[in-house]
Amino acid sequence: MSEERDKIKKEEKRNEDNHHKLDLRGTFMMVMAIGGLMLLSWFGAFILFMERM
Amino acid sequence: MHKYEKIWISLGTASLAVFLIILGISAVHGGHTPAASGIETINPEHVREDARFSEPGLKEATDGDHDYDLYFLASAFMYEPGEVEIPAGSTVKIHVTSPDVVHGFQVVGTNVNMIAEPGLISTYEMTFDEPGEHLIVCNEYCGIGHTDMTSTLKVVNGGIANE
Repeated sequence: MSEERDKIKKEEKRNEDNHHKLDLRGTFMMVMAIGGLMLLSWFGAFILFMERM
Repeated sequence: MHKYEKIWISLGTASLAVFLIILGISAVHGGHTPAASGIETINPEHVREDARFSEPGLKEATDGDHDYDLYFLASAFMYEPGEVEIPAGSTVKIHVTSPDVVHGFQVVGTNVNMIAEPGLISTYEMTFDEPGEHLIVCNEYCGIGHTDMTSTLKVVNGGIANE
């Protein structure tokens, strides 16, 4: 009985670790959008710095 | 691992590496004076006995490729001089030190932003091309009078650089 329960638990764990079936398009877009925002603000500050040299 | 996860993890790691390299380079170049850069020292208790800081202000440069040396003393809670005029177009080397606690020295609207530390002389070379007025503020909290600690830097037409 407990062996069977362990088996089910292992199976569930494997499914949790397996990300291939997840739809991560939205997450990907948000990660890229935040990355782009950071890059943009960095270059904004850098351009300001260069102009004041 | 998901394909997208691989992409953002590698992009994140790469940007971390890039920014650390930029940080490392800018720490020792571009006018920054970290503690290990051979920054000049001065005894904070005898700052006012030093010829340069006994009467701080704008002085014609005797060496180097800048036109003027500008000496500033930042103390609680004032700057000496309280106002200074610089001829437009001149290159000025600013020297700042403190006889008491840590102060800031920021010339608003320019890249001049230094810490005035007791015992160290912070320097920055800057060419002032545009005539105008800049506020100098203390941006390191130094005590009860911190907010009133200001000076004015005026860039004016005339002077050696324009003769």
